[in-house]
Amino acid sequence: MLRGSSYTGGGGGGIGLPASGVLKQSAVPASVTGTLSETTLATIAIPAGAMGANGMLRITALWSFTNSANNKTLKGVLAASQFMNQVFTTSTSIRTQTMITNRGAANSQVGHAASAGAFSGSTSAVVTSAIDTTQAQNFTLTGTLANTGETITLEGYTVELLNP
Amino acid sequence: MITIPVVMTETPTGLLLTPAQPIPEDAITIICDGEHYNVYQPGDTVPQE
Repeated sequence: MLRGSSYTGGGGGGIGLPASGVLKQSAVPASVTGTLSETTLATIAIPAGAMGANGMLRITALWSFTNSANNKTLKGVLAASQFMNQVFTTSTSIRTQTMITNRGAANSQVGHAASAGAFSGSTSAVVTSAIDTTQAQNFTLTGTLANTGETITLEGYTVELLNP
Repeated sequence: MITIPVVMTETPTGLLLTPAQPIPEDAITIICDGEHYNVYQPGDTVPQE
């Protein structure tokens, strides 16, 4: 299993690539309240070259929020590209999963439609990007409220690195 | 509890708030109120929801 920047154990990884495993995991709650600005709730460093040419980042997150008619917007962003952008209203919690895969090159990615659940159908196109994963990048999870009296909490997350 | 100021960055969709310094590894609860990240650590009393 991979933790932090130590690449040990796990399977895959190919020749010269980091092994697959957990890059970072936390169940420390991070909340936003009192502001309508998009707020970073977690920043995960993706080491340079961690994703191989066909490597994948799989980010699974657990969220809770105020149950109301107001929008609660949850985003997952690699570098500056939004791979998750989902809006919730009258519900209390959700587990999201975002998968970002290199498309045979370290600077070409694809992911599911940002506004849709990871395993849901969508009329939106897949997300593509040209992020250079040979360089260190950040993946961020953010929350945005539409009512300052409400709360979004990132209850926890797991970031996995999957290299064939 | 320690407080970390927010840094506001303009993005195409509005302001993005981020902590001015990394969140300590021993944090047990983090609450951003729009001006600060209030970081609770072991021994601190965490506010009830």
